[in-house]
Amino acid sequence: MYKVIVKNLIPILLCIIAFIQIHKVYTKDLTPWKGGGFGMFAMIDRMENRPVHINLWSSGEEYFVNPRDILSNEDYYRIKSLPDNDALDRLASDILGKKWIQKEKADKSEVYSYLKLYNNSEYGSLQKTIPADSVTIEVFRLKMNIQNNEISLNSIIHLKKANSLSTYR
Amino acid sequence: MKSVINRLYHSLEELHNKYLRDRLLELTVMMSLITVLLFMQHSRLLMGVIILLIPVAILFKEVALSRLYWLLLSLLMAIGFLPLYFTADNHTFLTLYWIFAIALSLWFTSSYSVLSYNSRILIGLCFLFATFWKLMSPEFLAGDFFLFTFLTDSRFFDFAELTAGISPEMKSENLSIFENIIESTNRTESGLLEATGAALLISKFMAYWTVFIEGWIAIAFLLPKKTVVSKYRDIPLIIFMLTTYPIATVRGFAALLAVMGFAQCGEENKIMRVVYLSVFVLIPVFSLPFERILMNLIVW
Repeated sequence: MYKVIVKNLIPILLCIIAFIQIHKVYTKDLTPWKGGGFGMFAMIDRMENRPVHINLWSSGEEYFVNPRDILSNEDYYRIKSLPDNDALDRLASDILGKKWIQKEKADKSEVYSYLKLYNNSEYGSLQKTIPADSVTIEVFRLKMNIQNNEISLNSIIHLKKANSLSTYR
Repeated sequence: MKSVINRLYHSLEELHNKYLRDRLLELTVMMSLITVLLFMQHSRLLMGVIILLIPVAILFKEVALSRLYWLLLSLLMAIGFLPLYFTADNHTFLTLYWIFAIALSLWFTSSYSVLSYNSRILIGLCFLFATFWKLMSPEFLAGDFFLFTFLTDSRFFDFAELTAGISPEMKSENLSIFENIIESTNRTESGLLEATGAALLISKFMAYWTVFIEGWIAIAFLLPKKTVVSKYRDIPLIIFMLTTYPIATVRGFAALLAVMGFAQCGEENKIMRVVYLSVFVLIPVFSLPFERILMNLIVW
């Protein structure tokens, strides 16, 4: 009996991890492509098709932060794959605690105001930074309407956090 | 025709008896090490250590068959894998299970038999869960998943052009719509993908074909070896590998399935060992743009 159990240890491990993955897909919005449940090539909702939007508010103005500018590859893909509230909350605190300056627009047609991280050695101490009053982070999944092949975004998780030090509400 | 098949069978049998029969464990271990080295995703944490450890075993047979070596390698790989748990591809998980299975089997007196058993069950379970997810996905069964993939995934563009008449202009327009939505900061952004009637038909066919072949593999590998379905289990796996990986070029998965396929072969289907080994050696060929070559041949 003991030998039978030991011989089957690895298949048992595979099943445990696959069942955890199934549970997380249905309860925690884990993408079915990841987590060891072998759900690849079954759904459109893959990690790469999940955009992360970070909007920063300062004195009533809305700015955008590119998540790739502040997250390591590992953390960026982790948030897309399993966008849980704790990870988003930590990221929001991190964003609110950093200094930001406005990124030059690449061309005049660009309508979005992107921010980049303030770096004292690069921009000098006289560069005006933008105080972060609040930040919203939202992760989306892609969906397709088969009737007309329309693709659009569907929100998975949305988090808003205000800066406790800020005077603006 | 019958005599040609007989001659081919005897040649393969001779090849097997001369070069493979007495070196099954050694060959399996070597192919596994090559797969881990070339195709597995490693975290930065331990990448250097693992990349240094593997060539040592490839060069020295005694190391490659050492229990302690595999125990160390599997522990290091498990630790290095943890940061990638929610982002790694499924074949990375399967590779890790396979490494654990090798490490475990070396502690048994009948090592190869334990490894062979684990390989058959792991392949069966992998395809069982893959089939489960496809059956649980209404968008997969309706053909939407493959339609979306044909229209937006560049790995499938040539196949979509060849079989469903998706023109290069349509591909470029669809890709631009798709990228615009993924990269936009506007949450209400949407766009219409352009498809052909043939694309939807092919997508539906691909969906049913995939469920059929993956389900067949799951059943054939999980049923007891004495059943008829299990006796011919290599047929669906080889068909799957040859029809899937030249299109979806996931070479890591193809290499791993070839190694595990090789290891699960018993004496009753020993000829298949030569076939799996050949597939393993020919994995780089899967990267050739077969659809493009075929299209050029048709035009010519």
